[in-house]
Amino acid sequence: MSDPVQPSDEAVFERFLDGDAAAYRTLIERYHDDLLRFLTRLVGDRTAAEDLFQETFLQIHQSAHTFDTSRRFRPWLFTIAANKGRDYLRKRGRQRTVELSAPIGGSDGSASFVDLLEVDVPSPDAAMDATEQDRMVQSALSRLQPALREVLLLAYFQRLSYQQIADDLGIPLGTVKSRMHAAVAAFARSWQAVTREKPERAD
Amino acid sequence: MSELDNHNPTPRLSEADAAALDRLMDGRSDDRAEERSRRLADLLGLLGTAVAGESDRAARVSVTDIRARREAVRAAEAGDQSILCDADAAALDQWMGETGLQDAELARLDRQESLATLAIRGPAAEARSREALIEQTLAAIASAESGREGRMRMDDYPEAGGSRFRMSDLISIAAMLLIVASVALPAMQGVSRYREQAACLSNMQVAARAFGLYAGSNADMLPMAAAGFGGSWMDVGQPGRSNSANLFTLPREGYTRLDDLACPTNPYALRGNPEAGMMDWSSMKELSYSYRVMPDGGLRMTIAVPTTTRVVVMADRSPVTLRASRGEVIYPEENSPNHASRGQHVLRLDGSASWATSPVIEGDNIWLPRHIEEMLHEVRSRLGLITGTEMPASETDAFVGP
Repeated sequence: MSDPVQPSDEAVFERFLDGDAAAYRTLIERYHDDLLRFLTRLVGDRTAAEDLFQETFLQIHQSAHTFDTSRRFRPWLFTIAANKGRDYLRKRGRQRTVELSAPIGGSDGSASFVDLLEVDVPSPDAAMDATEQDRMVQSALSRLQPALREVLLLAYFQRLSYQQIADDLGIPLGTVKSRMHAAVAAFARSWQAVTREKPERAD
Repeated sequence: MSELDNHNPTPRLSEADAAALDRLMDGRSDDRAEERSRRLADLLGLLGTAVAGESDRAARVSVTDIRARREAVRAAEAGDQSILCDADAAALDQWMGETGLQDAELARLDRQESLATLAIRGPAAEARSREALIEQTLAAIASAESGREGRMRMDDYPEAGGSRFRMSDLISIAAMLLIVASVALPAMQGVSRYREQAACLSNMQVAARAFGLYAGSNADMLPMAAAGFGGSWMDVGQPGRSNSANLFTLPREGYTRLDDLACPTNPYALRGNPEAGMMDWSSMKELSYSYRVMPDGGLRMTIAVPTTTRVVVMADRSPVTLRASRGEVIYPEENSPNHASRGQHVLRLDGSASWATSPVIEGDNIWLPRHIEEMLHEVRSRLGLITGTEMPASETDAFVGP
């Protein structure tokens, strides 16, 4: 027996709500990689990300009855995960101020333009050492202001459009756009910085 | 970080890049052949880069799944059914009714979960070598289980397919975790136990310094938060009466970090900095250590010198109050659950921390006040009074002997 079309997340979640205990495991498996990556990138701490991963699925399990099954599961999951991550970072508080205050200039109105054509980005098929890339991505993200990092990661992992993000957060579309522009620019710049440091490290 | 980066003004996307981003976000980007769009996609694609150690997903999925189920069971036991959806609650009721899941089994699940957790918490290098084995084992179990027709099926949905809740679901999880544990332990057991106990002992030593500092600036007193208890001191999360609020004084006033009062074996332990206004841990499960129950008026660090070595100020969390708070039968000589019931660390008033394999230290059970110990002693001594001359009280009095 084969089912060429995977049931949607929402359909699987409904099965869980109907008492199919195995359906919940299906969702955990389905989101394992993305959620662990999202949380690790967001909080920058692998052990904490493991805990938050579990906490997120515990929360979903406990709040299952509050989920509106006419909506999409993915953004809900990542919204809950982002809240957990934010709480964690807030609790960790001052320990991170040095790192967070380090990146990306001030807000003095001056701006430098990032041109993606000048940024060296490995293509997905580039033979780059996985561990090295993992480290470099984390390092680049750690230089972003937390708010920008969250916007960037949520946009990537939630897979929402500008309009959906605006609706979801209840903020103007223009604000969503400008935040996203700033987040991508900041990430491009810090990635650039990380790749420039790489040869120096090897020397 | 490069010097260049530190002095950079806020970066902004070029107009062309911003336009490419907008197209991508609005689902209009289609032209990956266009160099700029491709670069943008590659850049954002970096965010999906795999993280180290994520490949042992089976163990992580199992742990997460079982934690979610177990929490639901616990919540239901605690009478808080509001968090369960109706269908889930019904399934749970059936489950409980049919299998008679007892607290001891929950405790076993706890241990199995913590063992399985080791499989995903080890150093990445070790995880790599384990992961294939774990995957294979779990796959083998899963296929063996799925091959069996669902005995003890509890649910039968007309649409059939996967909508069934079976005993085998539970059995397979328990079996998986057991086998994960047996696979993982020989390689990791010694190392992980050592690391956990060492980290826990280190916590005790940090706490010892903190108690000393606190006493130094508080007239020699041990930390105390509440003026008096107006109820049960077991009510963690009720800082007006809980004993844990007394211990929470240390992190609250900055004498320790919460992490220093978090045993590495406690997955629920509260870490980081306490939020402003926080007065206590919010629940028993967040607590890693038990603190001496404070009498009215508190306790001085400098009580009569010969006794200071005896008085235990803090220990790995008490299994007795944990069970009592859940309404379970207590076992007075049980070891702390923190280290798989092997023993517990104890911190004494003289600042020395050590490992004890029994909670009875120099004749004093640290989990119990003396009057209960005396009651226990009396009951036990009476049980020893059977001499072989006693007779049943009546024809209906059940009484068997050798």
